[in-house]
Amino acid sequence: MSVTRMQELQICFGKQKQADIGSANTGVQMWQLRKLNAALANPKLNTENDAEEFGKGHEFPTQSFQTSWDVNGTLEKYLGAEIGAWAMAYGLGKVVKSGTTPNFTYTCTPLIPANGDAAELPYFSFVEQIRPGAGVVADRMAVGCVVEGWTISIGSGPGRANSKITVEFVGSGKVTEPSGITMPAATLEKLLPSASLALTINGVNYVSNKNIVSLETSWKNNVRLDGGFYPGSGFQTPGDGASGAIRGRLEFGNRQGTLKFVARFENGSTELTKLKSQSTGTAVMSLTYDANNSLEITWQKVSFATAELGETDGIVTVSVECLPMWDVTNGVVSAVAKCNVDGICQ
Amino acid sequence: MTDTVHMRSPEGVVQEVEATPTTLVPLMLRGWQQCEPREEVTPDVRDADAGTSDLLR
Repeated sequence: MSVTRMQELQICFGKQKQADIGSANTGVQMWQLRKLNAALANPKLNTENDAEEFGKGHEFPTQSFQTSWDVNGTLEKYLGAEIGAWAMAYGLGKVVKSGTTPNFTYTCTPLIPANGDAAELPYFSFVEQIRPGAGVVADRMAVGCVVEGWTISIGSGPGRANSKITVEFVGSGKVTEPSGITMPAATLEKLLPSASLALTINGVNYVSNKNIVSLETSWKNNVRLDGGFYPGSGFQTPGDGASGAIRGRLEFGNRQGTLKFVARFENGSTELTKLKSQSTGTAVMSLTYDANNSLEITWQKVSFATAELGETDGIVTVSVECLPMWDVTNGVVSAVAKCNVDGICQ
Repeated sequence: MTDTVHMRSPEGVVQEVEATPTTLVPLMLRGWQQCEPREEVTPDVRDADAGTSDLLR
């Protein structure tokens, strides 16, 4: 028997969104991207037993029951234009696509139910395969997944690891095994390197003054997982009440955005002053591969929640946590993602 | 030339707007959704109901 190594793991997932939570993506709606982390999106079967029930004459379980299914996973990747567009579209939830080949532009904002938007995020299917076919090791598809959150980390240094994205996702619990999906060819990804960063926060251009050291920004949907199980939400095997319940909806909860950065602190630096004055402004960060592949994220109104002096490699720096706030015209955050790939979240 | 998209308001009004963040983000925030261009409906002149018989002659 040959040992199976994790490098054989291939993943693909919905580039286009599912029609609804229960309708899996087809192969042509998916794309294959590479990832950095070895973690698998293992389906978890939750069980209960009858240990607590009276009438057996003892306290030990005699039966076990399949009650519900969970699926969650994490994608760690070097940040590229394609995964950037995908994460913004699926993570924020509302997308307008414009442009034509080779420059598709995805303008993304959070869904606002108060203005008529859905509370359910767009759904996608996620496939993991190791030697699919006759000698299969793993071949399964999680159906009805949504993005729980994303984190973009930008650091100083020459390597690709200084521009990364982590995407967390959760699923309805529905799993198809074998997946029945023919793995599409790998998508050629365009890296958005740290060296391409443009960054202006609260009126200060941190790239032109050469002071930015690192930056992290994130979005979290706090998906209401338990709310997905409602009377009638369905079962792993339709019509089989013993096969374990699955979720019939995945709605976001109270969403949170974060932005924090470390910058060199010198005479004239304004971070501490702005912390005291609680002045507000936009925070705009962009990363670019070329004219057709880029990602720009705008926090529409931020103030500084904390600003603390410290050191990085012996140089005085200030570590700032921003407070993203609601702007009456533009909301809390928007993203403009450009890439060569058509049909993301469409 | 600036790219344009069609957007539909929560009330059903369809507008063609510039595909710039400055234009799109405030609309998206207020519940507008991207939509297909509205199809123009024009009467077929070969149809008997399209005009008077005199004009057709």
